[in-house]
Amino acid sequence: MTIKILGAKGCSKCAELQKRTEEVAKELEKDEIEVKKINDPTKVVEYGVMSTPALVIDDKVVFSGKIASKEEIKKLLK
Amino acid sequence: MFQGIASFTVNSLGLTGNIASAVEFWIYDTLKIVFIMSLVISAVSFLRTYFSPGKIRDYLQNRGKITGYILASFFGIISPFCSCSTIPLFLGMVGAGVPFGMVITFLFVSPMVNEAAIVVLFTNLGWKIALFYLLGGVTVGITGGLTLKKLGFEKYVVDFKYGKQNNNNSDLNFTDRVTQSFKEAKEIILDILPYVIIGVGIGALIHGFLPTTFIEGILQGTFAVPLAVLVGVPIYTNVMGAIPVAESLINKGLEVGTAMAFLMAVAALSLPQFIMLNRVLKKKLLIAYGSIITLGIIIIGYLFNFFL
Repeated sequence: MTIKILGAKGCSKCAELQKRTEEVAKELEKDEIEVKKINDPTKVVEYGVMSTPALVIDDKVVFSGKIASKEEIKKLLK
Repeated sequence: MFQGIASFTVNSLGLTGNIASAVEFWIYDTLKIVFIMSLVISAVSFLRTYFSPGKIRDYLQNRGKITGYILASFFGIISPFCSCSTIPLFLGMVGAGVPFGMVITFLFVSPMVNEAAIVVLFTNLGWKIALFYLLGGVTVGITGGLTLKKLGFEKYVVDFKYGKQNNNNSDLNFTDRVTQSFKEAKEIILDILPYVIIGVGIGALIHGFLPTTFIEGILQGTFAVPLAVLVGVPIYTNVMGAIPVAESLINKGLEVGTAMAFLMAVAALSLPQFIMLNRVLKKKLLIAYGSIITLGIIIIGYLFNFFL
């Protein structure tokens, strides 16, 4: 499972989403979870996302324009 | 009420004299700004739940010139605090075929005019200054947009692939909107709070300790406005933190235009922002964009000084 966090450099919400996602990934103890952060706006818009932060799981945009709680992230990763 | 809290705190701490005056101002102004920010940002966040990026694009796409540019400016004003959202939105609008001039206007107005700043300027410095700030930013934005369009700068946006629009937040009910706007407002305010506290702190120091002769001596003269812009460029803070500093300087005798030029330069000309813009605007457009904003702020500063 490849998770991409779409954000921007210096955006604290995006960094927070990345942190929470990495923590959830660790808690779920699934080894195949890879978490990447994408800061390049040209790549972000390729996903059709115009509002950051956004969460992409296996190249599908799960949500955009907001930050999620760890509970919500956990549900999405299961 | 905030004045009361401020006075009470200062008295309980047993402070007197200049320090008391400075600390009192510090507490009072911080509380006042945070209060206003909470109201304005919550309201605008709520308003923004009705304007998903896709809808903004749809609104702008089929508009006649005048409406389109005014709408683009409006969206720029209510655009999110974090310019990290503005840039993907900019690309999205370009990709969806929104007229280039309007998108660039949006890109100009977004960092130059901030909705919470308008209100705080209004309460702290009066309606004339707030109105001038608003009109100044919008004028530069629309002029800049029209100019760059006429000059054919559309080709200087970087090439990118535009993905299918994902309308995730399209249909929220009322309660969801309210919850989301409060959540978003809370995050924004917590993000900005340190800048406000520090900004008001500096403002308080100026208010309590800066001699007026300092301003008269150094910060006046024909070149005060461009100088103020120059000083503002390397300073990185949120506009809400810069307002109290500008306000205190004005109260100590700095000309309004010079102070506002400083304020707008701090807010709109920041290195992190331009580093991000560098990824979506080719060199020529980036330079043109920066130059127009800089020139625009200088002109606004001189006009402010002349009229107010």
